[in-house]
Amino acid sequence: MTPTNHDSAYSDLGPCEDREFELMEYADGALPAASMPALRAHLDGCARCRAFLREWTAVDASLAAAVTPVALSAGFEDRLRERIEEVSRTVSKRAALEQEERHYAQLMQALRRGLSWRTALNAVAAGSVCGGVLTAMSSLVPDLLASLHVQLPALATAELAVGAVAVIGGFVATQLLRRPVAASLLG
Amino acid sequence: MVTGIEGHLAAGRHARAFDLIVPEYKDRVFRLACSILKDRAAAEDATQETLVRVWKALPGFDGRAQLGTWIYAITRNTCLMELRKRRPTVSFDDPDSHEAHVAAASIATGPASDPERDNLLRLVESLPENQQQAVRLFYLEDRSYEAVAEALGMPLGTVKNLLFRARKKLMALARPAEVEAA
Repeated sequence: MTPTNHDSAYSDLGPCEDREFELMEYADGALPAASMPALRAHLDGCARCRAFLREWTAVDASLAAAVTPVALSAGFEDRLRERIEEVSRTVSKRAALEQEERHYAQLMQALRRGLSWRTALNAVAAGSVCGGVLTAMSSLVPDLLASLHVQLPALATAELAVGAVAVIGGFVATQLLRRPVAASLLG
Repeated sequence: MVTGIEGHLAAGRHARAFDLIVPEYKDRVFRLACSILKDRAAAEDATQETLVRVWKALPGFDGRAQLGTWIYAITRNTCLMELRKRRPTVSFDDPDSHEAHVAAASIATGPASDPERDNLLRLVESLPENQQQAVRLFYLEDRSYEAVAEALGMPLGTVKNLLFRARKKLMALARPAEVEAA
């Protein structure tokens, strides 16, 4: 029997069952140092495990040769930098757009909250202006009103004063709100 | 001033940290991508995509995980997304992939015609996906259990078991061919 046939006979038998994993670690150079003396002593006396170890080492060497080292192609880092610059530009644009959209949303929210108050105030101002104008007109141009078939009760001087205050107050309120009355009424 | 990656990250100098991350991790990311995708060109694309994602996410990295662990997790996710583009229902445990058989040869750069090597690679392809990845990565990482465990995000014991079962199976599969040749 040639040594090869002798080895393969023991290979067919397999190693001692509780030694397989250890033999793998031993072959990979990963067996803990504390376990080394016991395994070496076992190998000295066990042909099956020696045969298994030889076969395992052969498969290991074949795999190492088959799975050859790989490397990134030349210029990889340059291409990566270009890609990051491109992404960076896109991210900046998107961030600026999102910031503008958030700002716009906040503005619209504030406008809606304030609009109801301002609309009410503007309505009061507009009413005051109209009331004041009509009051003034009723006193100053009665003939005009008569021709327009508009009839108003007779008004005293006090009412004229109230009308004047209403006109001035409405004008001031409108200016303070800085919004055209018509535009705010229209919402 | 602390000049390592962690130091720059802690100081908020993300651009500087990224400049150091690229040379340190690009090859490791590439090897992991090769072991998963089994296609060199796809692995290089995945490597670039991974590093771009790392760059984007770096300001949010809180240091709870190890930097390498975090980068490898991004790599695996990027590769999984690529695999799903090829096959929508694929997972890392999918043992059957026609594209794998077609693409396998592109991963190695050995001699143009080596039947023994090709046969062995085909046997590797017949293993469950997780064992294939472990075997490929083990030899790409120069037989380091620790490197494989970190890259695949697995405990060391799990990696050892995967490699043990995979290579024992390969040994058994390769044996009939050797007997015939003899």
